Amino acid sequence: MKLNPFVPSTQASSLIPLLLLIAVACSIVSIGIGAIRIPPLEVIQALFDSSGSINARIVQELRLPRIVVALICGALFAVSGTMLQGVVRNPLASPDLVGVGAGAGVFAVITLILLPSAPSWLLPVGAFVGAWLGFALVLLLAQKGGEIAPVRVALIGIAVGAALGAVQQLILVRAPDDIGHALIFLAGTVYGADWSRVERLLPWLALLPVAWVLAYKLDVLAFSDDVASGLGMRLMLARVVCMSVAVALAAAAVTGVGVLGFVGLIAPHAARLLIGAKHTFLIPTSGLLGAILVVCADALGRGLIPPIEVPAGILTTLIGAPYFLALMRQQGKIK
Amino acid sequence: MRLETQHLSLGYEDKIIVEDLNLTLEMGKITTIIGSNGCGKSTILRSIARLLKPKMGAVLLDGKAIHTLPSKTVAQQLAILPQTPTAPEGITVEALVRFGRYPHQKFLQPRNPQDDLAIEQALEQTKMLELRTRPLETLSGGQRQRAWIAMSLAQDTPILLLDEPTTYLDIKHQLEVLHLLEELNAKTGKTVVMVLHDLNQAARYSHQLIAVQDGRVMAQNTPELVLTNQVVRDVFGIEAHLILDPSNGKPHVIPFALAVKK
Repeated sequence: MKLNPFVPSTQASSLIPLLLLIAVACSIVSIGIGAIRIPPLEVIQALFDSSGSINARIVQELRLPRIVVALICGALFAVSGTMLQGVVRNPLASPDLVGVGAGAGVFAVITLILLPSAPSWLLPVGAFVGAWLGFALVLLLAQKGGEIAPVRVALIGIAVGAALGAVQQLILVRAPDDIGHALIFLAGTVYGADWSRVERLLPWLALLPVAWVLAYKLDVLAFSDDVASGLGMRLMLARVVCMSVAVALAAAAVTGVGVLGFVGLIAPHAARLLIGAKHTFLIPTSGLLGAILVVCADALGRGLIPPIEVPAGILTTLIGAPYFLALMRQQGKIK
Repeated sequence: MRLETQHLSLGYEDKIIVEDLNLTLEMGKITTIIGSNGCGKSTILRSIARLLKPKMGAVLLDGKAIHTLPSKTVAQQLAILPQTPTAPEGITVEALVRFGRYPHQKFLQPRNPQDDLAIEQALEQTKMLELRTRPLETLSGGQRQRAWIAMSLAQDTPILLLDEPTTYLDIKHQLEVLHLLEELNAKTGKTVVMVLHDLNQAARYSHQLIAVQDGRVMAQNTPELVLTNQVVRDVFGIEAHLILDPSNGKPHVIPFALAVKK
């Protein structure tokens, strides 16, 4: 396989606007899918229709927020995975591999059970705290003599993730019925996403430009430790900052759609293959791919066997797993 | 500019490797640290490069402890080429060398003409201009090492530290790298401090040798004065003939037996 240049050619970097177009196109087609099918042109009309017609109400009130949540969470997971892979210098890292996804899930559940009447903005904050705790637990267990080896983080992350997942199940089994219903999204689906969920996620979108600003630091972190230190980078500080942003991105995404683990793993991989390893390009490419992946998975889930809906998380896994296996094989061949 | 160590103690976890080391490195010269495996020579170099925190004492740059100075300030004064550096996948020579400018760049304003100038100079000095667009992975070992040296040169520091820069290279490329360092030192007056395994190469290319044994400096002087039968026996545990290299008058070590321990 031909190796991608670190800095993409102008031809390759024009991929980013192209992906943006694809994301918009997929969203429009996806909005049209459902019990009442609406052709793409009418979807566009309905988006800007303020007359309150049936089509306009279906599109604006029911389907658009769902698509927006899918786009946002796909991008958040993908960028989080990209950053984690960069910092941990392990291409197989992703939010759910460092205890982040599971920690966010447990704390989202606990937040809702302990404070059922809390304002909605508290849910992602609770998830963020949980994600950090899950992550800190992994780091604490992985550190040895003040140093944190990338491979240990990944290994211990899997174990902690499994344990936290079990805790979440345990709490849910004993939870009152209505809470269980409120937490249905934790199973990894965009089902039932409304404008209030979009509002809850919106402030966390501000972290995407922050991630992009950190791209240069992530590039330096991709060198071996001695090189990065020698260049004057404060390794620990840079890692903690980048990881915190990655944790926050993933925690917010979990409160939107639950854990869609494969997105955080697959989108960065695909982006790396498409555009190379320089984070200035990698981050937007990965984010767009993640958004497209989740929107398409959700569209497929609704369109395949109506009126039954297949959760997006199941489909991203079905799409992602073979792709991921192919990637693994390819990686094996390179080495 | 002055670079020295004061009562420097180094080690990992509970193990002390170097104790109470007092060393002054000569500016504008090539200094090579020699010694047998595990004697602490790389440890000393890594500490001078700020990659290893001292247990006690300090590495002083112009009288200030480098571990308390801002990391970018130190990186503007001394560059380090570690033993087996790794770079992001797919990176080209030019992109690699550009990262050498990192310590000179401020947050959110990554590019200025001075950077471009330093990069061009570094590529020219290492004769990498023609290979600038090549990915690092496609280069030979010698070319790759020159690319890394170019990155360190772009850092534009008065002091360059190298940890065994010739390891894994064949003999021709070893000489190529050492010759390049000699040339850089002669032309730009850059201070070079490195660790080498080969005694004869160390003698041939250095103004000063520092012989280290069990974390202690046994001798620090010109190659002629450091490489004596006694030092070679004590530091390396070998008996050797010492002759003068006919081409440059530097000492040349021809080992013939293991030293007998008394």
